[in-house]
Amino acid sequence: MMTYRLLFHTAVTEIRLTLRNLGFRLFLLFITVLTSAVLLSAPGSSSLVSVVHVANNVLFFQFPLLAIVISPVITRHHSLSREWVWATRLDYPVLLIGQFIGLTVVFFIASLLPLLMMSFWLIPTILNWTTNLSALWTFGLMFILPVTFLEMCAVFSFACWFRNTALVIAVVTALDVLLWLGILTPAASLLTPLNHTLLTLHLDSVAGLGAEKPILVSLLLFYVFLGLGGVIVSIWGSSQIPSYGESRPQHPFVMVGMFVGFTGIFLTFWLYTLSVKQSIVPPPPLSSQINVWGVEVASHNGSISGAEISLQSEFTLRNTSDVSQNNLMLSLNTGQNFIEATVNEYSVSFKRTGETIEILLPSPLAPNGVLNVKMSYAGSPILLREDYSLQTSIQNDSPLSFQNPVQTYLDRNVAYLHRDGDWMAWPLSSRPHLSPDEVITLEVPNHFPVVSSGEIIEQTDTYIKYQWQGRLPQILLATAPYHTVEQSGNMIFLGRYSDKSSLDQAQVILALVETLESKIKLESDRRYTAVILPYAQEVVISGSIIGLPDSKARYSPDNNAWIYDLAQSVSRAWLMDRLSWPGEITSNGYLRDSEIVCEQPDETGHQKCKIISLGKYNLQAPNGRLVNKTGHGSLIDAISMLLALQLTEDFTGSDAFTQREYEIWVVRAGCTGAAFSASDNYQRARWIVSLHQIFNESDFDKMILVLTEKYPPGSLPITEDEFLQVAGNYDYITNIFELPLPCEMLTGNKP
Amino acid sequence: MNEKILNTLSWHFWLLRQNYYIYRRQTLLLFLLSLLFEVMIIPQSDPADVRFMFAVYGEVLLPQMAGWVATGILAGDPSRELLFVTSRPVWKTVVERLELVILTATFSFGSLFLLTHIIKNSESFPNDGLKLFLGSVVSCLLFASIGIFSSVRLRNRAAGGVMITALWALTLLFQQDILASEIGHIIYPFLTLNAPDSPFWIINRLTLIVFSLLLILGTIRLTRQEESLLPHGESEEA
Repeated sequence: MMTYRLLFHTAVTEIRLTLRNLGFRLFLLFITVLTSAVLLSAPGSSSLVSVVHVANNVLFFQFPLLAIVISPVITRHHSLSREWVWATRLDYPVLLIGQFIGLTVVFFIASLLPLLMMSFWLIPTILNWTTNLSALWTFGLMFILPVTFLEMCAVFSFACWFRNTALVIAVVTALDVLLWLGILTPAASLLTPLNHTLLTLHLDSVAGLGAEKPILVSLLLFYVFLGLGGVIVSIWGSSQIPSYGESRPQHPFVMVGMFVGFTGIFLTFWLYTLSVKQSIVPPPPLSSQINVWGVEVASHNGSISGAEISLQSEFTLRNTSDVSQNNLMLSLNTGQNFIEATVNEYSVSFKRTGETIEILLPSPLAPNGVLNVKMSYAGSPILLREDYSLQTSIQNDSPLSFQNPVQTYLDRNVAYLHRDGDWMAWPLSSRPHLSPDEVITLEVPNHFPVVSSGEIIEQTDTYIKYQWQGRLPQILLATAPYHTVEQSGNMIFLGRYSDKSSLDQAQVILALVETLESKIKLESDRRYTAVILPYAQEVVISGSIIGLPDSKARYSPDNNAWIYDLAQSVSRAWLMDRLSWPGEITSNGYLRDSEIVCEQPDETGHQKCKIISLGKYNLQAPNGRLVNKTGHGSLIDAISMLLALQLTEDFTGSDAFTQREYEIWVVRAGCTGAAFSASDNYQRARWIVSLHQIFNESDFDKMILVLTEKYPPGSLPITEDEFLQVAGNYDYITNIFELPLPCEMLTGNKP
Repeated sequence: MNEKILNTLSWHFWLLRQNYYIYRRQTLLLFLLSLLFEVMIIPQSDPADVRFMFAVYGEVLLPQMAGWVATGILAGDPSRELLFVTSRPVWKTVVERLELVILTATFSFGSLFLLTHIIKNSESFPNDGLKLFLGSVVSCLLFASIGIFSSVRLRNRAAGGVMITALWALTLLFQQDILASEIGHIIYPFLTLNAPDSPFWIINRLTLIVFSLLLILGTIRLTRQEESLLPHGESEEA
């Protein structure tokens, strides 16, 4: 009892002393200024982005300040004027623990300051006071408190061991500078300490922590236990110093604390590495069957329960290749487990290879042969970090990587299922997952608002059964604790953490889609549903459902560039939904832990490039990956850019901005500097300029309407030559419009 | 005449040596940091990487540490009351100690330069060594003068330390915003690291020297009001 009283009094005394310390008051002032400056320097950011941004900066720059304020508190016990510490009955470990408790209380309360400042500055962006402010405080405290605790523990432990303030400050500052400038950790990754993991953190307005939860919670708990373990070992080490007192009492709680600390460190780090392992891209299969199988009949039946989805699928597949096949490869999310499979009613063996399942056929299937496959599988789909965490280094550059679009997400509260997602087994194909005869039946929990393109065939209080038949739309289902806003007959489903910027973005996108459809002379009186999709990176238009990514910037009426960006996303998504585009599945890309350095081209235009490995800092896709590149080409880029220019002009009512943008494309189409840069940009520019010079606006819109009728999704994809044939049907441009020549053919250089 | 100068210099060095004994730990620490950076520089082969490491150490880390040591010149002296009762003006002791801190930082960086030059071949050594060296000296002077002035003005070493670290952190964090304007190029303390080819480099260094001298003069002025220098609160450190 005596020990606890001493602990309490020491802690209270330390709190009083710290509050009187001028250095601590200046620390509070610095945190206030820093938080305000960070928020004011990025005025367009959404509140979730701001929370991460502020937490990163506060956590980084408070570390040396904590060293300055905390370390003298410990080191002063060793100065000559402090003999009384050793002469009193107050035991040294009890004194240190009491001081540590007092400092923890003070700095935890000080950690509320950035959140108070954030709440003040972010008031204009708040859409729903309860959810937005509670999210801001919950996420803010979740990031700031554990890392602050670790930093405090590090300073406290260093001070106990070094017993010199200058040395503690030097070590902490050196650590901070080397981390900040990227010398110790050149690229932010999952396995880098402190806020480098927070630097790449993606907070989603629909799913919140979502896919990051297992990684982040285990990491933050690891920080807490690491700090605690370090402090207890330091206190134990300090108590070994000979005391001038009469006796040195033993403290069993120090030993218990050490045991708890080390057990916690071990368990949380194990959990963290396990979560990291699950969220990185597994090695790709050694051989793959891309576009080998034609799906003639497909049927899926299943249900969602919590974060798990179980499905039974049946396919009739035709071998469309020229060679006989011994096995069948299906794409399936890494979190889902295959339970059983039969081929032509024979039970067959299967194995998982990366993101695919390989089924061994009972006998080789000849070209044009048909087989019937039945299978059942279940599990919780895992969203790989490569697909949504785009920031790769502290310099914010983003090299080409192995990113696939996010088409599947499932947790306890949120579900998003896209037709082409890997939640449903399907042969490896670069085309949309469409078959002439397809049925999906799915039972979905009836807890939250549901956006679905399917037909309801059964509904109870606990679940809804949906069915999709025929040519499936892209977005099958999205459900989450959405809040809904109705506007001019259109419905907007906003994520629970969405702020005003998301609503502004949704309204602008709806207006752009309506403008686009009325321009192309499609039905313009239909009602749309806009829904924020979890982790989506691009706009997805699926008939009357428009899937939106999180808003990354706040709307301002004079921001024409923002409108233009949205118009590009809308026109591209619209073209993807209405036309069949060529695609490929490729393993081309660069690991995020590599850098490409090219020399100047020689006289013949040849250029030497080499890939430099930065080391194993970023393991998000360590062995490469098969990536679907559907809809990547100069033609779709050029058409969507031209549509975006028209849409922006209509939306803003002025052509000043669009003229400037077009001039940039004109300059680029001249191929100046093409030898030193990516050729894609120049080829796209040449397409844009050619199309713009030859077509007038109304003929261009008419031609797109013709294309949508001739090349609907699921049909054979449109190629550049076929596009030229369609364009040639317009009398006045016959024999004028030709395929734009690549820059290297014009300049003689080969980039 | 020469003998008189020699005697003055000899007396001055004796004073520096006496002060060195008081600050032995801190000064040795700066050399230890140099050694740590030397270990990190040795594996680098690209002159750009070596230059980057020199600039990080000389212009970012070393000045912050020099600034912290300077905060203890008066506010961190546990026997500072003794300084006030002696007949020798306090400002002389303050300036001598400040000189010691800046000289130590300069020697620390110089030793890193020398050691790297001996160990590595000339091809991997940056070709603007003088610029790096001068940039580092001026930054150390600036942060040391901010450190001594703020600690004497606030009568608290920790407060002085927080002041330098706060300025240092804000400058690092908002480097792009500061360097977006010409005025920013003139006052930015880490110009050798972040914009070495800036046409304002010389003006920047001269401005910072002038600013540092003003702060040192301000410190000297403050030390004349001895009563206001007495400590308050918990401000003693090891």
